[in-house]
Amino acid sequence: MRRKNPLYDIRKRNVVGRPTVYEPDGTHNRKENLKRALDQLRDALGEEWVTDDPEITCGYSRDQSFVPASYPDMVALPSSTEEVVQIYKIANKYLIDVIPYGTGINLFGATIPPYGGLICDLRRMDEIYELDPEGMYARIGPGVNFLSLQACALRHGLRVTNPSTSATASVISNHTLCNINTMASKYGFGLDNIIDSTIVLPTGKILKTGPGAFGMQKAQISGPGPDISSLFRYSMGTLGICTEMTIRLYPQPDYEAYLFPAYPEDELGPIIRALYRLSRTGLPIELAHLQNTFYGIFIGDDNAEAEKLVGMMPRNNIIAVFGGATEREASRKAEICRRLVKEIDPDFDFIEYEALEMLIGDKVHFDRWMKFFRETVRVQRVKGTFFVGALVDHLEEFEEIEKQMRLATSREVGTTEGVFKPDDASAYLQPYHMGRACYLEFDLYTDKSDKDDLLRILPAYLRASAVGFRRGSLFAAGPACLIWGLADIPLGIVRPYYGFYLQVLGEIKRKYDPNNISSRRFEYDTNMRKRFFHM
Amino acid sequence: MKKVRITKEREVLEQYRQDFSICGKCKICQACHVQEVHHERFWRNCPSGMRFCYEAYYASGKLELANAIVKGEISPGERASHILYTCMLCGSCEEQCYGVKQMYPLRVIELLRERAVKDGWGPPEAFEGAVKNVKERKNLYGIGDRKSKLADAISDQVKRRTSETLVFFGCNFMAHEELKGEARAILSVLENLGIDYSVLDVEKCCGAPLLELGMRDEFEEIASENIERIESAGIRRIVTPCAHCAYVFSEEYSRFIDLEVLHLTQLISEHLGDLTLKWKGEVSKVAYHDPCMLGRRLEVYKEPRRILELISGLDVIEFERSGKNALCCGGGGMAWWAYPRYSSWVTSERLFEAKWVGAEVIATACPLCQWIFQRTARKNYPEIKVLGIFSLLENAMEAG
Repeated sequence: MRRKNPLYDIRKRNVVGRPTVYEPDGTHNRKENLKRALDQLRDALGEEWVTDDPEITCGYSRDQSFVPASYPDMVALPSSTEEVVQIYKIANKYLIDVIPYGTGINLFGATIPPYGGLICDLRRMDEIYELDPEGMYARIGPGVNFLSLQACALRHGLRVTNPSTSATASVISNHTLCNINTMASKYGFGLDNIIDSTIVLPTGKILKTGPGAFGMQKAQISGPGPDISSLFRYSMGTLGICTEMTIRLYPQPDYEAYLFPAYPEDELGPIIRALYRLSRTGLPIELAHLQNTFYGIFIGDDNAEAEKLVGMMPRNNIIAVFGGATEREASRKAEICRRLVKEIDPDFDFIEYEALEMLIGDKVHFDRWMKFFRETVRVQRVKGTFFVGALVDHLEEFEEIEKQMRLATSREVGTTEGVFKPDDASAYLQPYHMGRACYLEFDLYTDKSDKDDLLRILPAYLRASAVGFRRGSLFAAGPACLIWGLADIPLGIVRPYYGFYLQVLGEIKRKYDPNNISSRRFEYDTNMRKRFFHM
Repeated sequence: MKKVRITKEREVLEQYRQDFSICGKCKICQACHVQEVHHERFWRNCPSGMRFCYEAYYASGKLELANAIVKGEISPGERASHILYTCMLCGSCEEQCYGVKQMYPLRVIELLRERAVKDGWGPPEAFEGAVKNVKERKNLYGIGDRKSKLADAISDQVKRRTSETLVFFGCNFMAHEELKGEARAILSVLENLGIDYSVLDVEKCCGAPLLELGMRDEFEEIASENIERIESAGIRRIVTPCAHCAYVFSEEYSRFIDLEVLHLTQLISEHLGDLTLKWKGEVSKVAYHDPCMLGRRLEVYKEPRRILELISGLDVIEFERSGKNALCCGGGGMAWWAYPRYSSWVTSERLFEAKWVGAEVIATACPLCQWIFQRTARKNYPEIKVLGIFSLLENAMEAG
């Protein structure tokens, strides 16, 4: 008999036998249909690229999150938009759930199939179709990751906005989700930098959005008609699969200068005021706040270095990068900003580049660290995993939010003497669009293999999240992301605010996915998930 | 047969449960060091993942496979065996993962192979010949003493020498005609530098193929025989031009007996001093290929490069993926034995890279890499010459 206590279900996670969830009376993913679909998919994609071997499907059953394991019934690796169309057509015919899989890097079980079905692994579509140095854009497939696109862009004197995720993450997945990046104060998040996209709708029809839909050149702005590109942001495969995207790139300046303001006290007020002031000037091309823990995580070459760095750095740090056509121009910008920061609070220290070199290591090494931070972040270095919460709100709100969040988490999980404290919330502030808003990330570090730790961390995370909810902040990522599959969990909380909006989204979903096969997260008859935790 | 526990402490897969339970699926294991990628064509570094694409063929997927097997979620079959034995054990995944998370994906894969042998689902039948050869003929290729290509290269005078330093050539030199020149070059370089050494009259396989296949019991049997021979001959130092032998002697044998193990490049590089060396060949652009066992496993990167850099007239260039990022030649993990087409695919990828960087010659310091490259280059990239590092050195010594 199914137990209703979700914590009981989590404890029972280590089952013997394959933990695929089947609906007892489901119409989707029926065994007899799976076999037929498998044969037809093999005809369409080639024998090698579709399989139902459990030794393969197990690789898609878990991710970094605490979402319980669930095996897909099969995996397909299409190599083109046309093959994705074929997959949807066959899936519709046999009512097979289709879950898109870019590179599978996420913290909330986005690609773990809720009810089995088919994983559509897009990694073979890894081509950079076009990179226009003049127009500063790139047209890419869903298998392209930041590592490869950044390498390509840098050769052309350009850069893709570099998010705080693994360098091996899919650019398209990341752009459609959030793409919080260090250039956001000037150029916005990833979703502001999508020019157009090609979506295969669950019916198997191909939809082009943006200027490309009107047969226009890459005008890089919406129009001439309505642009529905944003409909697919945060849709997490529920409305189709993005097989191509054109995104903006930004130029690498000829010369650069750096500013490293540091505030030793454990308070965010002066940091927030400095970030606001600096972002309003529009002078830094990159601007971010990092608490010492994040400094270590982002820039440390390995865990040992990360810990060393955490111990050496002041509690609160800002990294600002300035560009110019001449060395003088770049350093003048840095000098202006140095004065502005000093005016805000005379207690600000400024760590010189050379001092950081001496503090951290030799020059080559420090350059590498800066490159880490700015071009190809390699995060997730903490052994174990972490709950990540991502809030977007006005900068000035975060002083109070951060205090309350930390209070909520330390009450719940306590604190430790370790470098990466379990309650080390609210550690990374990223101003957005010249300070009009800000992104705050709070992480709760934990050991995924320790279920007791999970039971300790989960309530802390929920309490911290509740702080954001109460204050009306936008959740930019993480399991609280509202639109992913129109999840039922936050629905009760948000229905009063977003009820009609969700209704319209639901109608669109029904229209273009009549069989509810694309990343099925809720049922049409109840608007609810059938199950949240697995037996 | 005397059977001794000669190797490091026996480990079982379950001991690494934490590694496969907490893998964050950051997929860094699939790439080169992210700061050292300069072209989008060359960011990947996992041979089996590159070829077969499914998550399970990358280290992150193999950790999940280990997880599923240990938890009893699946019963492994042919596909699991294919996933496991197409891995080239090149260690690129661990090179990335250890720095970030201090995890050991390569060790998990090795132990998964041992588990496969124990549970009877590995190695695949196609390896039967290799296992039989090593166990019965004490040579990977089943080459008898008379047919050994080494026999022609080594004079009787050399065979009669005694020394505390043993030069151990390995099975590849005995089997492949293409490596005869390299064997002669090694002996010539040793003579020129006045290094005291001896060779075994008849070499027996070091056991690396069995170890790579996960057959630790069988490996220990052959290793204990070798150890007896080494001890009775009074050998204190083994020097070998083979990266696989060097790894096994260094990481397995030397834990049991007092034995100094060096790769030949380490010894030669010490002795070269300020010799004048001049290349007299026609082609000059040489890219050095780091053998996985020598580079990532034994961290010998500088010595082979030092040897090449001492040779004037050679333009030593680097692969896009070099040093810690070097892509396997296609000869690792014994996969080439059972899956020659796949192995050749990986070799072609590396040869393509050599052409991309403008190399006219690939130089390497492992006979298996050399033979594997030569095999595919002949067909697919005839314009690229493949030479052992000692052939280059011998050429330069003669000219100098």
